[in-house]
Amino acid sequence: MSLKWSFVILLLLMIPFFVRSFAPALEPYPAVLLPLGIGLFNMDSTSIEVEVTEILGINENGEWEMIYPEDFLNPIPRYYLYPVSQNNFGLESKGEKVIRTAIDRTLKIPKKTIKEKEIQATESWYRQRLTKLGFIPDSFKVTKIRKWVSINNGKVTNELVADEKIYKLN
Amino acid sequence: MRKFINLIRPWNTRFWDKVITNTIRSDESLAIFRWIFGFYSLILFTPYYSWISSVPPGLFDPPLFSIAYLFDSFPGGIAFVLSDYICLIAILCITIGVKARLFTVILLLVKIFCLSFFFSFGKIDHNILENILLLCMIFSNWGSNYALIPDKKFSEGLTNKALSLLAVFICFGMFSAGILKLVIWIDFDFKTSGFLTWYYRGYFNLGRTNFLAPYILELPRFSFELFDYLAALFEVSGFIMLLKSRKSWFIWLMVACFFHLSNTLILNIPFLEHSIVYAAFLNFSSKKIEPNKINIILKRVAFSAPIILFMLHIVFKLNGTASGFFLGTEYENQIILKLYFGVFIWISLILFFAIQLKKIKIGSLQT
Repeated sequence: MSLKWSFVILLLLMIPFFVRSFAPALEPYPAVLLPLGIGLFNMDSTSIEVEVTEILGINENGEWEMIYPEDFLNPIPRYYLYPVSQNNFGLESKGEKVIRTAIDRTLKIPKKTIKEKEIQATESWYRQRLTKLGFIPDSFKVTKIRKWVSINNGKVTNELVADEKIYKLN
Repeated sequence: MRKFINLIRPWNTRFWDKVITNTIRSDESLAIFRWIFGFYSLILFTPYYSWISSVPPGLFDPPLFSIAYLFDSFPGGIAFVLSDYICLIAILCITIGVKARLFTVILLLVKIFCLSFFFSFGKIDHNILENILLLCMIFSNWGSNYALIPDKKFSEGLTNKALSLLAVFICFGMFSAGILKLVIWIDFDFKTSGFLTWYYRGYFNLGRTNFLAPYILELPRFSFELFDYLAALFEVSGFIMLLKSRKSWFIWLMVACFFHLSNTLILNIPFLEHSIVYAAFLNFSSKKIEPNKINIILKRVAFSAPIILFMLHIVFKLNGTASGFFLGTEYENQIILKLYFGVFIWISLILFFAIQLKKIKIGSLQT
């Protein structure tokens, strides 16, 4: 491989690497990068804190009932639930998003604006999905529940609702 | 500047010479690998993107630096349906060897285009090495042997670089995942564990509770610290092992398979997409295949099986029941299947690498 090509390859590899190192949310695609996952768990803890996103719909009795994320989002894989919920399920239009950087600062980056027509189409998609699953297609609720799970027996020792949002479907 | 270039030029030559020597494979081996890639793509991971067209436009949230960001929304449904068919035809042509190089280019471009939209829900999956494999194979002679319409052969110099380039990309990919782990996880603090963040998040949040996952907490505490060190050191050691010798590169690839097998059993993350990438380095060429009765039958099966699988995919597509994994349909139902495949494939690869390592030892793996 000539020096010129080696340099080109080096740039193609290093630029995305540094971009992701600066702000994981800025990760480009395609790029030769593999999963990061560098968090640390404190083993002195007797429990672990996990945040679970739950989707609820109104059943025939008028009560909120949990919907399996894979059924609600199908065909989108279940593990996309978190990023989709961060994007407000595509029901709110925002021209920018705030991301965290490695230097502990936030950065505003441009985001695709969702047009009114697209929001309507998205609402219609959710209505059809709720109807198909046997729920009333007026709204759905998303709750973010913080759970403390005992690391000894895997049982939930405490939980609280960290965030709750009802999406009305017009 | 010129002085600097003159200084590093010999280093560059020595680097690539060493990498080529340690990764080189014959055209014949790569041609057989092409068949394996074909069966892998037709049975296990068939590109399937038409589902994206049924996703509502509000969910379009592409990464800032991606092809999809150039678009206002998801392209019309026909684009993805067409892409699925193009990918399928390309895989068939690659497998049976009809202008394999051209169809490798087509497959790569269509996949990258579609995957840019696949990753437009706010998260990028890291299965890039599968596409990097295609990129590298464009420069190889994998379509020049055992093919219906063989490719024109590239010079030996160029085709030798294909696998070496793939090896460098694998090592860098692993390095990108491991370098920060090395800094953060190797902290000599037995009260913290990086491994457990992966474990707990998967176990309690994503339902990754299969195989050995429920028993892992019974291990002594220091083992979690050990897992951190082993994972970080393995991920950053690729380049060293690649440059050391052919044998050490094979050992690293075998450890990589063991790493993925452990992840499948403990964390329930099979990362099957990497299996085909590592398999490219195995030696598939054997003694000259004699045109006897058995080999003629095998040849007929080898050419007809991909066509049958292709037809099967077409039937599934026309019925609207196609999918991207094992000819099934639903994503969630396939998780367990993927795990079992993961165990089988990673164990098989470990065995293959072990057998070939033995041959390197006695010096009979020259290609």
